[in-house]
Amino acid sequence: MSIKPTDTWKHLHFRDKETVRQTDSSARVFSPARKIHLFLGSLSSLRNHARSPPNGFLTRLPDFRRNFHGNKETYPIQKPLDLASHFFYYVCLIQMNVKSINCLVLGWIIPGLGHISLKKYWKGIIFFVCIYSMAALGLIMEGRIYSFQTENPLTILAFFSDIGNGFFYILSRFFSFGLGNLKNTTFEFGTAYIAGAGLLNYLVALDAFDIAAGKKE
Amino acid sequence: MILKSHLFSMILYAAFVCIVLALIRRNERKSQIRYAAFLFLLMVVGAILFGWFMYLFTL
Repeated sequence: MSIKPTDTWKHLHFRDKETVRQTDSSARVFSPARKIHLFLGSLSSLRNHARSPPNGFLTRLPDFRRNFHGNKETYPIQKPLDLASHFFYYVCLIQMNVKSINCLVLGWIIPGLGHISLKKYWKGIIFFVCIYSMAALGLIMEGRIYSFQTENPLTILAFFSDIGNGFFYILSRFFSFGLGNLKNTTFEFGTAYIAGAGLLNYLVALDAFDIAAGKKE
Repeated sequence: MILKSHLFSMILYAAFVCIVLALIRRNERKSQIRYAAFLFLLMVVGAILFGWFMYLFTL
């Protein structure tokens, strides 16, 4: 038996002539035992995906060219069960991301609501009190909530930090408060309070996202 | 008016920021308190020192 160890023949080491002949032909006929082996492999991968769903937003993608031993297969894996297992994997991935994105949006709209939805009540309440206290103090100091305008490019940054307040910002647009009073000595500090509250709320919402996505305990 | 004092406003701002950051960055209660105290001191003392540094330019 003389087999050249070329790339196309790598997987045929330690196999008998019968296997070589079978694999060499384009028919790719597998023995019943091999079929059972592959079937169990598919079940195993399905079960493993079910038990350990992806734990992050950017997780490792499933390697279609690996069998259940973790070795690289040389034949194409296009079996229905493999496809089903990968489909299940992606469903898990999407479900987890939907949950984490929900937490992100909730945390952005009302500070701490993302944490409350994750049953971290005390953290959520403290975030809510701190961030809305800062925003309220900013309003009392007659700070300004900036809308989007391109006349002064620096105010674009202020706008992006202000919309971090979520619902508070939306309310300010509807009821037109937070117009600011330049004459007041506390104007600058008030504006900084409101912008700081928005930036902190971004961090809080991202924290809720990370917890929901399993990136953080 | 308390809020007209810039120093008090800065200290209050630092306190809020410290509480939120400590809750985000640390998990255990003890380390949260320690981290919040460290951040608070860093911000307040840093701001006062920087204020005195800027004062040099007015002389």
